[in-house]
Order: sequence, then structure tokens, then C-alpha cells
Amino acid sequence: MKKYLIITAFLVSLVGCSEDFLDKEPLDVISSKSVFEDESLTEAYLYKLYDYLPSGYGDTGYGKEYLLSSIVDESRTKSGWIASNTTIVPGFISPTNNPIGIWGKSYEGIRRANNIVNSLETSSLDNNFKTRISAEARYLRAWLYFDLTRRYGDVPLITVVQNLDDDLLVSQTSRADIYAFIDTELESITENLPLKSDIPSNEYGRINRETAWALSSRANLYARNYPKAAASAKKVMNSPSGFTLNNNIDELFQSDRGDSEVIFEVLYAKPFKGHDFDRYNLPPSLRSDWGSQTNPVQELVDDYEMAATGLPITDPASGYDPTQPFVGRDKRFYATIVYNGATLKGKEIDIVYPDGEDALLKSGLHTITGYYIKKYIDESLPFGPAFGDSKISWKEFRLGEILLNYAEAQNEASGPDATVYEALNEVRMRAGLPNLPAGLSKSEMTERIRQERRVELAFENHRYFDLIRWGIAEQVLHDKYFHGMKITRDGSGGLIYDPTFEVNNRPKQIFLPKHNLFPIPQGEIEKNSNLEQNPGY
Amino acid sequence: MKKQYFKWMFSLALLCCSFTMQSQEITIAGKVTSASDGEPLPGVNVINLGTKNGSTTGFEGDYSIKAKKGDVLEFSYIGMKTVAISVNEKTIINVLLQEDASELDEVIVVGYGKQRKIDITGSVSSISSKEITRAPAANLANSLAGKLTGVISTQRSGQPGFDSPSFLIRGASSFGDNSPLILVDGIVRSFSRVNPNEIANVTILKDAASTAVYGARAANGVILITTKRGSSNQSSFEYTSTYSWQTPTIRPEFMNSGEYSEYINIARLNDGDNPKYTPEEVQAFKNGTAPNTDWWDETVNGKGITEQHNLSVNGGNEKTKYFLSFGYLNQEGLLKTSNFNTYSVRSNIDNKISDRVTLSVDLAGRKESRLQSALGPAEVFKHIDQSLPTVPATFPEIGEGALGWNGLNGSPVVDSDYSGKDTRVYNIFQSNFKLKYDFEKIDGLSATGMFSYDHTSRENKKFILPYTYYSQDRVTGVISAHESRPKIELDESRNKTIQKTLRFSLNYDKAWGDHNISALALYEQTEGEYDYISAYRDGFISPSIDQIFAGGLDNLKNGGSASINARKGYVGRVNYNYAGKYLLQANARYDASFNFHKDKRWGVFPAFSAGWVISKEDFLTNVDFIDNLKLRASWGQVGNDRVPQFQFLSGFKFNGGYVIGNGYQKGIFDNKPPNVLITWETATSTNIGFDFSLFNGQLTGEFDYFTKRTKDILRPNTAATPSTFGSSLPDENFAVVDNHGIELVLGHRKSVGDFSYNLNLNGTFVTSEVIDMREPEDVEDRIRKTGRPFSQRYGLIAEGLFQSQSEIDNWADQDGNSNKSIQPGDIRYRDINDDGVVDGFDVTHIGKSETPELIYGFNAGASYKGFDLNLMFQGASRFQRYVFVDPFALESNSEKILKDSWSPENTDAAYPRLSIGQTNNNAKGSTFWLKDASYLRLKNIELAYTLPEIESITDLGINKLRFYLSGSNLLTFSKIKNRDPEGPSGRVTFYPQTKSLLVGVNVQF
Repeated sequence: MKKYLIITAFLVSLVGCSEDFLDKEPLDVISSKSVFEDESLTEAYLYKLYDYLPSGYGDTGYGKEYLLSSIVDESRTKSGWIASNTTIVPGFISPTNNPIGIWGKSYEGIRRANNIVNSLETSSLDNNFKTRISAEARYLRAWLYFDLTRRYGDVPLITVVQNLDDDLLVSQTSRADIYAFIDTELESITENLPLKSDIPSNEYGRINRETAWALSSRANLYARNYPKAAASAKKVMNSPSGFTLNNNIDELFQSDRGDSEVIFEVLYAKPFKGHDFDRYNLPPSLRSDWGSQTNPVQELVDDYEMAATGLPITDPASGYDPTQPFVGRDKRFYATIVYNGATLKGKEIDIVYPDGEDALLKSGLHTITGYYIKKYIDESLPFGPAFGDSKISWKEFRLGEILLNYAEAQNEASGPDATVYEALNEVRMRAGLPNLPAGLSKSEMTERIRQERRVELAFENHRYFDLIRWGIAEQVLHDKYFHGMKITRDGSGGLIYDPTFEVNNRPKQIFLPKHNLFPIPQGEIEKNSNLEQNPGY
Repeated sequence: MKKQYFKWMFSLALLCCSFTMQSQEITIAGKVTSASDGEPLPGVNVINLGTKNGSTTGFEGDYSIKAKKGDVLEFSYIGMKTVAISVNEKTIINVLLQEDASELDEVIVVGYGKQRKIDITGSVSSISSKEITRAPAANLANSLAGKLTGVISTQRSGQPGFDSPSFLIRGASSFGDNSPLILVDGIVRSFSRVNPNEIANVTILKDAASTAVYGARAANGVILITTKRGSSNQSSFEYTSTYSWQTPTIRPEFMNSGEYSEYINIARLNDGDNPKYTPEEVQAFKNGTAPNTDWWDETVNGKGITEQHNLSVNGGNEKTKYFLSFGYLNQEGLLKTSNFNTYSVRSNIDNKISDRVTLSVDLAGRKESRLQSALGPAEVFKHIDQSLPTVPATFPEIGEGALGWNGLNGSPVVDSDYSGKDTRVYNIFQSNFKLKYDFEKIDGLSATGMFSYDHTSRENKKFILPYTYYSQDRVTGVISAHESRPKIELDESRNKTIQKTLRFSLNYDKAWGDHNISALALYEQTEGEYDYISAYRDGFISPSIDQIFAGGLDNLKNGGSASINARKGYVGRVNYNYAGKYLLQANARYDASFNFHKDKRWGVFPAFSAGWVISKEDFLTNVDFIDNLKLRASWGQVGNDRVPQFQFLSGFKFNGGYVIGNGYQKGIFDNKPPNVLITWETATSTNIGFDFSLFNGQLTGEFDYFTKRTKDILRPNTAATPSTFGSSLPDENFAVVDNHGIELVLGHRKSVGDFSYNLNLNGTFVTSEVIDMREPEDVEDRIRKTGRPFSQRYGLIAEGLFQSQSEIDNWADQDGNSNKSIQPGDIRYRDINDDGVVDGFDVTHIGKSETPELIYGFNAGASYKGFDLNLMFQGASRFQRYVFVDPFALESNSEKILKDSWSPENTDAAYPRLSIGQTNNNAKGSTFWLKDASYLRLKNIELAYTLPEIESITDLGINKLRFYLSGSNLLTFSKIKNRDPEGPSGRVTFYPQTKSLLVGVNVQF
């Protein structure tokens, strides 16, 4: 009998039998008390919040696989199944289907930003540390509200960490008040952020003071608060960090960090953070599959002026030769667009219809406009990059935009004064263009500024919002097919250029007045009776 | 099984006869005859249960045995009901044995014990090894559909090693984990890969009365698998071998190049685009002068052969009994790189250490290897679906084995055969150690201690290789080479799971006259741990070494995770029955789960049940044709604690990050807000049923009606929380779902001379209704989930296709742009709120879910001399599948059925007008694509022949030799013609279900 008692005791000892047997601790959770009392953990929490910053490459916020460019007059995307073609271009955005909606995700980021700001108030960490982290979190929160309000208009403004038993049915705050909130926030944090030039290399990529000014200039421009927009832009232009336009535009868009023109950029570092831009956008001859998703349209190509004269190609005096359409253009054209005969990754690209290796419509994998995109293509990558192989940074704020923000704001606020010319000519000079003619009226200057923004900032996700805030989106986009370049050979081997090739194998663009705002998601309207749907949805 | 039992009894009886008898005994004598025909029965075992002495009847059915007053004599004979008679003054006892037609004495494995079927008051169904090994599937879980009531199983894929069905007991009732609790030999283990030859029986516990002993994990029903144990005194060997061929049940039909070129031209014209092919090209495809590739034939050319071998030994002596088994299974898939194989070994040993102590040790090991191509069959079948028939699959002019590009996105042949390998190897070790002690002083009381240790490890390795394939320019004829991918990659991971279970129990079993009592008290605890580690590299300079160290250093990645769990519980159960007539059972489990806060951790799960065997009442004992009639009723509560772990704690987890400075900085984020009140879901179920057996077992049946209310269902309160809250939500206990259902089994069996047959019909019908899910009060009825079936679908109501422009102009605005994008041949949707616009406000509840509400089986068997034939039809009904067909997406190929698309010439078409991919309008979720998925299939048929016991065989030492031929899924009847009715919703991009032919042999020696 004893024998068995011993065995039993042995069995019990194998497993243990006490109550705390059930008190298991999770093996992958950090206790909630420790985070905001620990600098490294607080920074890790902040870095997760940084991850909510969008990149136009499509890995955050903007939906995948296309730039916002393919839903405006910059480009079309070839694949029929991509949301641009299935939903956005044909005007099917609805409260239940909005592939470029950012509602839920933005509020996730806002909650985290609120958490940092609130928690640091009572934290016993070093004050300098807290001040800077808190300022960064407030910057990110301001960005998220900016992105929300420019898309949705009036949105709920939440600045506390809500509990589940709070009143969660928050009403909308007007767009004007959201912009005011952003302005106040940016105003009060700038002094707490270091200048870009003061940020050590191991902190590179964190928000600097000029970024707050840059966002202030952009947000105030959107808010039509022009004097403030100009003032903020001026602060960036005069910053002791000394931003300068890079005369080599290719170099600017090949850089993965630290270009002299860049104020703020989203960085990549393989293998944990890489993007797919090259995989999605290389011409067929330079990749194994996918690719060619961003096909610039003729309308954009036509808007690049002739370098020598600074005149649009429609001007007979411009020097434009329709039989050699790609000769003598604005430098930015060559840095932005892959055209027939362009060299990409050391290879001359042949888009001649129908036999060229990368010819228009040659297969479902080829361009539908006769162009491919050059901006952001990483020439240093080997053939056929995989997903996540791309590393070129996303330049959210650069001096080029700030100069144009300044010119537009200053022109709106006080007309085309010398500083407006100065800013605009600085941008033009870098593009190899002559200065603007003197004596332009305010509205002529407005047109010049819009033209300059179009070509300077192409594919940088500005055009969609610019068209809307200028009130011309319907006029530019609605009921339109855009065009491409069909190049064929004549009998003697010479090339025939047909820039009237209509890109009608993809839906005609529908842009109705309601599309100036996104619909608020249907589920949110159903859950929160205090929300009001935007008109037209 | 039964036969062996009697063999053993018989030899035990002979052994006992040789002992000297004690003096007070008297000699009892008598004659045993058959009740049905009055013939004497020779060879009947007669045992004095008091002394364990035994005897057998002679040629004339006569016997004699020594016994004293008060002893009980037991008479048993194969095929007859065992009879026990108390010895009184009489010295002559004549016995009539009834035929044991209804298997009423069948013993069923129940939770923590066994019970005679006739005494069961809950709702259980059970099948034995014989039925499991009939037409055996490689995956045991697929063998149960149609054989047991209460089981709702649907096989979604036929891929070797990845063919586990969705498996529900009495339907789904929770928003979370609906899977049943599965125990193999009393321990929570997976069962789908257990070697069927090792299994003695499978029991499904369905109502709360049967499952309450498993407390907080039993709400979705319990499956008990019991493995075989040694039962004979002499070693008997059994060898089984099967060999089978698989082919798809349905081969999807794609357009050939002639059809493709013709119809894609139509689609492009419909989209306002130019035709893709000139009339001359179309003609060339049609008359065969241009390529016509059948990519399915090029790719789906694996062997599809399954081989199974099993050797087992069953034997022992008085002290020790053993069951040993070794099994091997190798299943080749329909694709070349698709294989599943497993080796399994089991040793179940029972050793009587002393009169009162038994030690049992069960050790089982299994190695399972799964192989698929690195890109996986989903990708392969997707690419077959898309590949253009207009391009050649090979380029012999380039060289032998030069493969063609599919015209779109690679080559399915490369994906299947040359993309590298994805292997998953499971090593499973399972052990049970059990010590049972029968108390000396208290008769009928025993104590058992058990410890179990299981260790499962998994090794995944995915080695992805580039491959060169070729394409030919349509115009110039130039052939160019493409790499399928830029680099060699290796993705490897390991994980291990350890589970320990400790259990002590006291069993009491005693009868006083007509009062029978049994009781159980039990303590059980389990704990488990899991960890996982992964590593990745790419940039291998050569495919020759598929090891991590051989990879490049640019893209090193590694990761891991870990978790633990613990549970404990106390179980009590009391059974009482009076004269086998009135049956009562009460049981409860006091259970705790680590998954909840200390204060919310413990719970009591009680259950009560009762049975009334009416046929034993005096007023029915004289009714000859009724063998058994029993009413059963039960009520009980069980729980479900299987929700994401530790939701009662707040905290932070590592997640994501951002590039700062020179590298990627890890980020952390907050968990969902904690819910300290979180606790298990509770299911309260009531079951009423009756069993009957008539005409000596010729007609049997069971009927059950059940209701189940699952409340406190864990669910995040997303229906009422706006996303401006900014966080995912913790599960809360609030939803309530009701299930109702009936189950019916009818059986008939008869023998006439050498011929006997049996028929069995079973069906399960379950419906569900959401009672509460905290929907806001003002949610419109059309999208309201409350009051609707559990997995209700929502979408637009399609009203056929537009036939003319005027119909479109007069219809509600469907595209938000005055129907400008709509054309004749597009789907027309109902404007249910009559506001002139078809939008989100016209979405309503449509159709049925993917889970069948009715599932049924029909089994028929017949035997004549050495032959037996069994067949089983299995069907399911009252469910729907979303059969969306996409024409020419990305200009890919299409299914042939799309030839029946709308055109001005074909206005009565089954599908909308062709376009490159379904248009936005036609792709909207609607009733258009919902199809009734009801099916009936000949799940299996088996013809077997057992050789008679002729000398030439027995001389070889062979006791039994059986050959059989069987088939699975040979016939399928369904309204869905272009794919298997059990497949998943969506496109045909899944590994198809298979039908098979099998030959097998079974030898016992």
C-alpha cells in the first residue's frame, strides 16, 4: 500500500496542486504601470504612434497598390481590379465602400497620442524628456486630425483617452475649428521640438521644429488662413537648419535619407520596414511580374514647359516639336516620367507600339498610357525587386512644397509681391526654367502657382487635395477619359507620335460635387446617432 | 471484440474449473435453451459470480456447477443476452436465453467512465471501430459525417494533410470558438490524424447532462475517442492494408483558346475597349493551328494514391494485457508536390500488479509530414483558373522541360512543381500513466490516479526557389526568358506544445437488490505551455543547401511567441437506477480557468437527467414486440472559456515600430482596454428523447429534441461602440444565441438464413437565432441581426438582369450616377426603401449561411455468407454558398459556364454581360450569386469478402482473411454543377475534394 502512496505523492509533485497554479502571467505582455515611467518603453510607445504616419507608397492609410495620383489627372492605373478603377475613378465611393477611407485607423492613432499626452502629465520621468515626447505626440495628433478633416470635413475632436463607460457618441466639430485646433497645437509645441540641425543622427527621423511649421503652413493654406500659412512657410525657409533645393532632382528622389531639401521624411530599413513601390511600378522589362501600376497621362506630360523658353508647349513660341515631344522639356519631366527612349536602370525603355518590349497595351501587364513612372523608382535595386525591397524615403515635407505654399499663401494674402516671385523663381530655376515674366496679375499668378504645384509636386499626393481645395476637381476630373501617347513606326522606321490616344479601357472618371468630401462610414453613422453624413451620400 | 471477450471468458472458466470446491456448496444443474426456437444451446458459459467458478453447457445444453445460496450465476453466449440468476433453494435451474438483437447491453464510453447504453439518460451517439475502418478516410474527422447524429461536418478541401473539415456538434452557437472539446483517452488531443486502426470507439456527447463533467470547456459538445486495449489471453495479430486512388469529385471546366479568344473579345467590346484578338487569330485558335493549352491537365498530374498499412497485436496473460499497433499512411496528392505521410505507434498496456492494483501505461507516438509546394495549392489553383489557354505550356524548341509562361502571372506548373517545398513535420508524443486501486474494505469502491504528458513539436520549412520560364511574343514570335522570382528564400519555424494533466478519482459502484448506485468524485488539473520561434533569410547563392546558415545576410529576420494555460476542476456524479427501470443522474463540475480574473474564475456547471424504461413496466412486459422503450430527459449547464487569453489584464505588447536613426525601432502598443469581469460563456441545454427497439431488434430508433441557450457569449461590443473610441475592444459577456434542433435515428435489421441486412437512417436538424447582441435599438429591421439566424448573410436583392436601356432608365439609381455606368445585361437590384437609389440602405438579410441546417445519412448493409456490402449516402441541405464567377479578371481565363453570359442574342442568360472582371455593379454582394448548396452523395460503398475457415488457410495460422473494395464520394447530386458542394464560397481557387477507389485486405493470425 505504501508503495502506491509514494507513487501518488510523486505524481502530485510532478504537477503541483495549489491555487496559484491558476495564476499564470502572460508571457508577452508588459504591465501597464511600467510604460510611462520608463524612457525606453515610452519611446517605443511613441514609435508605434509614428507608424501611423502615412506614406504615399501605399503601406499606410492610403490603401494599397496605388498612389492617389491614379485617381486624378496625373496617372491611371492599369489593373482593372485595383480600387482606383473599381471604385474611386467611376465614382462609386460610398459609406459602405471607401478604399481610401482612413476613419478608424486615424482615431486609433489619436487615442495613442492622447494616451501619451495624458500619461506623461503624471509621469515622474525627466521633464525635458516628457516635454519633447509630448510635443511629438501632439504633432502626430495634429497631423492625424489634418488628414481626417481634409478628407471628411467635420469630424469628432477627441483629445482624451476615452473609457468604455464614457459617452462615446461624440458629435462633429466643424472643419474650421479642427483647423484652429491644429494651428493652436502646432503653435504651442514648436518651441519644444528641436531644430532639424540639432537632431543627432541616432534620432534622425523624429519630428523637428520645422516639420511643425511646415504642417502649419500646409494646414493653414487648406484652411484659407493665408497670412498664417505664409508666415509658417517663411519660418521654414529662414530656418537656421538651412534647407536648400537640390539641383539634382534625380538625386533627391533617389535618396533614402538626409537630402538637403527634405524637412521631414518617413524612413525605411529592410527587412522590417520596406515598401513595394518598385515591385508595383517598374516597366515589364525590368521586373518579373506585377509592375506598371502608375501610368502617367498625357495631360500631365503636356504640362511640363519647354526648358529654354519657359513656355507651355501649346504656345507656338515655346519651341516644342511634336515630332520630338520629349526633347527640351522642364528638368522635372525627366525626373518624373519614363517615356519612350528614356533610360531607366541603365536600360533604354522601348514603348513603341505594338512590338516594343514595354509597349503600350502589349499585354495586361503593360502601360495603358504609353508612360511609366520614374519618381521614386530606385535605380540601385537589382532586377525584379520583391515586395518590401524598396527603401527610398517618403518625403512628406520638402522645401519645394514650402516655397510653393509660401507663394500661394502670400499671393492670396497680399498679391503677387516680390517675395512671391522670389519663391516661385527659386523652384523654377532648379527645374532649369527661366524666371516668370514680371507684372502678372494676382489671378495670373494664381494660375502660375497652380501650374508649378502640378509639375513640381506630381505623384506626391498633393494634387487630389489641391483640386478639391481650389474648387476645380469636378471641372478637371468629371466625366473624363484621360489620354496617353501611342507611338508607332512609319514605313521608314521613323516614329509617329499620337498624344490623343484615349485611355478608355478603364472607367471614365466620375467626380460629383459630393466627392469633395468622403462619406462617413455607414457603420459609424449607425452606431453614433450624433454624426451627420456628408451631403450627397 | 465481443468474440474475443467470450474467448477469454471461456478460457478463464476452464481454468477455474480445476480448483477444488468448498464444502458448503450445492450442485446446481439445468438446461439452457434458446428462447426463440426452444433448441438446446451447447457451449454457453456459466459462471458463478460469487466464486468466479465456471462451466459450460454440453451438447444438449445441460450444465452443472457448484454454488451456495445467494450466489449469482451468469449465463452468457455469443449473440444472446446475458442472464444472471440468484441461487436459492432450487438445485435445478433451467434458463431461456433471448437473442441479443438490439445490442442493448452495449457499453458506451461516457465522460470519465462507461455506461450501458440502456442506462444512459443523456444524449450521446457512438460508433465502433468496425464502422470507423470501413472505407477509411486519411482524416478520421471526415469519416464521421453521416454516421452519427449531431455531427455537422463539411469538408472544404481535399488536400492531403490539410483536409480537416469544419466540424460542429449540434451547430454553431458562439461568436467565438465553436469547436467541440476533443479528448483522446480522456486527454484533450487532436483526433483527426489518429490512426483509425487504433480506435476502439468514438462517442459524441451532445447534451449538457453528458458534457457537464467537462465544465467550462464543454459548451460546444465533446468528442471522446477511445483507443483499443488488450483483451485476449493469446496473442492475435492483425494486419490491414489498403491502397486507393483519388481523383477530384468535380473538375472545373475552363474555356479553351477558341472560346477564350471569342468571349474575351466580347468582354472587351462591352467595356468599350478594342477586341484582344483579330478574327483571324480567333479562327486559328478555333481550328487548332494556334495553341490550345489545358492548364489543369498540365498541372494536376500527381499520383493521387494513398497507401495504408497497419499491424497490431492484441494479447497478454492473466496479469498483463497489451495492445500494440504500428501504422503507416502515405497519401500522394493530385499535384506532384503534395504529400501527407504519417507513422504511428501505440502501446497500451494494463498490468495487474496485485489483486487490487492495476497499472496502465499508454504510450503513443506519431510523426506526420505534410508537403506542399512553396507557393501552396491555393496559388496553384488560382493560377490554373487564370492561365491563358492561348499560350503554350512548354517550349520544346528551347529545350527539354522549358516551361511556358501562362500569359498573365507565372505558370501554375512552376508554382506546383518547381517553386520549392513547404514541409511541415509534426512529432507527437502522448502518454497516459494510470494506477487503479480496488478498495478491500468497501466493495465497489475504487480509486484511480492518472498522469498524462503530451509533447507536440512542429517544424515548418518553406524553401522558395526561382525558376525560369519562357514566353513568346504574339506578334514577333520572339521567345524570351523570365525568372519566376528574384531570389531564393527560406522561411523556417519551430514550435512546441507541452500539456500535462493530473487526475484523481474515486468510483463507487454497488447494487442492493433493485437499487443500483454508482458515484464518481474526481479532481483534474491541466496545464500547457507553447512557444514558437521563426527565422528567415533570402539571397541564397545556390539552391543546394536549404539551411538557414546558407542564406545571405541582408534580410535576416527572426521572431517568436510564447503562451501558457492552466485549468482545474472538481467533478461529482451520482447515478441511481431502480431495477433498470427508473434512471437518475446528477452531476456537476466546479471548474476554474486561468483565462479569467481570480474572482471570476470559478464556476459550477450542474446537470440532471432522468430516464424511464417503460418497456420494463409490468403493463408492457407482456407486449412481445417491444424489446425496449425508454424516455429520456435532461437539463444542464456547461461553459466555454476558449477566448483570447488574459483579457482581464491591461498591459502593452510589442507591435510594429518605426525607423529612427539608423535602424528599425520596435514599438509597443496598448492591449485592448481590460475587462476584469470577463468570464466563460454558459450554455443551458435541455434534451428530451426516446429510444425504442421493437420486434427483437428488427426495428430500432432514437429521437431527440433539444434546445440550447448560450448566454454571456463573449464578443466585443463593436455594434454599439464608434470607432472614434480608437481601440479594438475586449470581449464582453453579453450575447445570447438560441439553438433548437431534432435528431432522429431509425434502424432496421433482419436475417433470413445466411442472408442478413440492415438499414439505418439518421438526420440532424439545427437552427439558430440571435437573441441579443447589444445592437442599438434603432437598427433597421433589414440589417438587424437580433432575431435572425446566427450566421445570417446580408446583401442586396438581385432582380434578374436588365434587358434594355429603357429598363435601366426607369430603374432606381444603382451607381450613384444616374445609372450611366449600367448596361443591359447588368444585375438589377431591388430598391427596398423606394428612395430611388440603390445603396447601403437597400442591404438586407438574404439567404442562408454556409453551415447546413439539415444533415443526414443513410446506411445500408447486407451480408450473405462471406460477402458483405455496405453503402452510405450522406447529404446536407438548407445552406447556401456564394458562388461568384469572375470573367477574365486581369484578362485571365474564365470558367466555361460563362459562355452563358447575357448578350443581346442570349437574353435568358445565367450570368451578367461579360466584362473584364465582373463590373462594380455586378460584383456587389447580392442574392444573384447565392446558390442552394444542398447535396446528396454516395459517401462510401464497400464490398467485402471473408474467406471461409477452410483448412488451407487455418493451416497457415490465419484465422480470418478479408478482402474489400470500396469507393468514396463516387456519386454526388447537387444543384451546384461547377464545383464541389462542400467547397468554400468564392472562386474555384481551392484544392478540390476527391473521390476515391480503394482495395484492402485484412488478415488475422
